[in-house]
Amino acid sequence: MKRIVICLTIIAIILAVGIYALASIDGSNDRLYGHIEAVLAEYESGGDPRPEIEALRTFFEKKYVRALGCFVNDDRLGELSVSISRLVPMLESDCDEFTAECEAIREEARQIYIRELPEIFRIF
Amino acid sequence: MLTVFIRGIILYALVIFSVRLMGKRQIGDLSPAELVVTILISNIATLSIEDVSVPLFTGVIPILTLVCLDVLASYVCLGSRKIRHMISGKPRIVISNGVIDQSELRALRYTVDDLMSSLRTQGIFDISEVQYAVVETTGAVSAYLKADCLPLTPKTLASPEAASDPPQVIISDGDFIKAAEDRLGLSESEVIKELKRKHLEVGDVFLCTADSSGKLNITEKRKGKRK
Repeated sequence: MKRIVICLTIIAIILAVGIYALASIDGSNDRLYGHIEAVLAEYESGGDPRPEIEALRTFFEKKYVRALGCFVNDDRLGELSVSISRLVPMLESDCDEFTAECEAIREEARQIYIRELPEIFRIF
Repeated sequence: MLTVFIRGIILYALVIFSVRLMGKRQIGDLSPAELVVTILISNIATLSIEDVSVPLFTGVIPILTLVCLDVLASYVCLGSRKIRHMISGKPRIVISNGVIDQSELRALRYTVDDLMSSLRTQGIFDISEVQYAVVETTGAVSAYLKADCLPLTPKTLASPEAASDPPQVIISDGDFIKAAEDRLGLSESEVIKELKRKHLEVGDVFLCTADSSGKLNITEKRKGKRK
């Protein structure tokens, strides 16, 4: 009977961790979207978005990676990191794709959340 | 490198915990379900140790899930014979009264060579010495020798046994086993009558075996919880 209680407790913990992971990714994504919005707003108003990009990168490295590192594959976080690091060079070379790159970061973050959702087609 | 080392330590502790949680049954011969779980755990643990790009949680969670399912399945098996047979299979009699059941061997996809090899590991080289043999759920063969081939004991010296199959289980944990009843030629009503004489119902019986002469050996269910 003791083993059954341990097993049921473990299953409950696994479910709790799964729900916590989803909530954690969702919350971190919301903050990341906020930083991206700030970068885009500054860029579109003709100002210098470099401080916002720096804030985005600091948030990503110090908080986002630490919060999601336990649940998300390193490769996906690596792709996001590469996209963020491309923003400053793109801005400096006055590249037309700056906005598209910001949208790509947002989409990659969204995909991280979506891939964690236990949907039928993803399970099978 | 250090990451792999630390992950190795964590997964070592987890695998030890998992095997302990699965219980002592794991240490002996493995049933098909246990074998599958053991192989899967070792495989997942290896991947999680080697691949540092994969979060440790993605290795820990499937290991714990498999172990929990194994323990829960064994708990469900305790209460239901049907589920027990579905998950672990059931022992199959391949030799009865000294006669090989060829159709059973074919159904098990067991060759005569396999049978002979299993018997030889038990020191039986002549199949004609075997009275009764069962292929267990683990795939091992258990053999019972004919009376004239059994080792001499004070009991057999005093009254030599006639050749007969060993006693068979006819009630297991309150459930009647129809197959054993058919083999022994003992009807359910006869057994119930015998139980009634002892003021017992079928549900009160933990284990009841019967030999070929129809003699019952009854173990009652123990009431109350184990301390």
